[in-house]
Amino acid sequence: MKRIACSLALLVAVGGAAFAQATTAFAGKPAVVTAAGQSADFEMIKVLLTRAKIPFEADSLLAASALSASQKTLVLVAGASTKGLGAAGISAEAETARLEALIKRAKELKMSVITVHVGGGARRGPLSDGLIAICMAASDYAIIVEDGDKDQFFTKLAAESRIALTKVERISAVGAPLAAAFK
Amino acid sequence: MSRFTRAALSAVAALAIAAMPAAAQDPHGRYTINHDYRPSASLARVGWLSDYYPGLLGTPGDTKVYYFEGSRPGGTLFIAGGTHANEIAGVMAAVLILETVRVDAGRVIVVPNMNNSGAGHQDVEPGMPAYTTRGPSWIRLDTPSGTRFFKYGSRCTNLAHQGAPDPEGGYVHPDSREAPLPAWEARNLNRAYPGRTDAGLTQKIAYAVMRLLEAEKVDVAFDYHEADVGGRLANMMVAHPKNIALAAAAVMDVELDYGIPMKLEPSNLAFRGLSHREWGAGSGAFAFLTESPNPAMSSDAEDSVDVVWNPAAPLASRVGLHVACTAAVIAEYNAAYPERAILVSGVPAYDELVERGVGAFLK
Repeated sequence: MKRIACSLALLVAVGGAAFAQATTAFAGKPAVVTAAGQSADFEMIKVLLTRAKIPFEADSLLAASALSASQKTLVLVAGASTKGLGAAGISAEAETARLEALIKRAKELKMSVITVHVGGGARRGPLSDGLIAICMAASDYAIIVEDGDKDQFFTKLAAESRIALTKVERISAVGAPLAAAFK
Repeated sequence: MSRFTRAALSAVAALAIAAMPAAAQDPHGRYTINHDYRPSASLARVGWLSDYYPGLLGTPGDTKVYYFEGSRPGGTLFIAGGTHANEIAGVMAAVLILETVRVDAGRVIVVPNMNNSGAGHQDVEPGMPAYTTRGPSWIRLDTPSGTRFFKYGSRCTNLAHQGAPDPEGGYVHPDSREAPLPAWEARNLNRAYPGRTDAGLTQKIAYAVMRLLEAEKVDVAFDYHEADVGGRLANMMVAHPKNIALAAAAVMDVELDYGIPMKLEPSNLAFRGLSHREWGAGSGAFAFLTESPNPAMSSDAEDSVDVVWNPAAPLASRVGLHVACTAAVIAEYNAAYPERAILVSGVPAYDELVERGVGAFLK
């Protein structure tokens, strides 16, 4: 249902309006945030949610078993960092498995899912792209810094998943559409 | 040419040479470069890094430490420039703070030439990449008091000062499980922390810095660096994981306030020897490293590259990046820890620097 609602916004967002945002506040509170790829971009999104006064919990290594029915929206901060994966002591394969299990559980709990990608072109590449594809396929909405979509990678994934995609110029501009997505 | 003309030219040349800072030994046997720095009125005293480890006394690794104090108690901010002496915006950001800062509460400790041995040479060595030494010997800036010169050096400690040959088979940090780095990295201060007293000069400098952080109970510590223009590291803040949240908020603020797009990375705890990683783990300080883009460090740079006015990355914007990041972190730190706030003013903001240049704000 949420996907249908968001697909209306998709027509605006993907249809060339680079700075469009979801027209309907669809995401419930509180949110739970995790890092899909263990990049420090996760910390940026925590700052933005805090400043937007969106109640949330955050765990970069959030396990599917830790999700609960009281959490209404899963925010996936997509983009891989080999440094981050190494520091977290998790392999790329294990991170992918964690992400897939997390999404599966979020769907069982009927949570909304939002993908956020703020690392731009620097946070792209085979490892990042694989995780991004998993996130985008499961999301109801995505917000990205436009530099990361020079090759239309996100645009194509959003179209395939029929979800709204909002592109912004810089990281600090992610806060407004992200906050607007929460009802 | 007349005798008068020759005499006049000689006098001019002599004056020009006299105006250039030079290497010298002080009465205590400290062999160092006479950097031309003119501290602000908040200066409380000038000390030496060897005050924290006497084994540095009289060596080319000793360097001046400037202490600025406010009238009210507060936390302590530590600024390191010149860890890599070829990364001139890091040096100049430290110098700018040194010459302009007013401290109202707490303390600011500035070391503009963290590796003073590196500041004194640009020796091209076999196997070392060109970017480690490429650049002028000095930069000159026009200031309200006239033209001033600032030393541009090398990424590494002078081999003649290290007191030990570069290790055969490459450099491995004593606590690292990583593959060996190139042998010259043994003289890279930012691979040497937390340092040792039974190794080369670089390791001794690192040891002294750790003792300084500990003895002065530093709360927030910055290490200013530069990287190649457009490279992965340029426009980046690296933070120890314990203070990554402060860094994230600051990076956001810098982008909002000045439009500077900064990347953020946490220290890789497995990669030993870097300042942010070891300062954060081995002291009470919140540890940060900032990277600005230096045109001389790009792989395609020419030896004659302009490192001051280069439109690709003028010195003023690079110095402004370090200053803006520091100010943003301090603002976030003060909000989180008001009981140990560090209240400073007087340092020009990013947009002022970009508009008027660094020299306009120096003495």
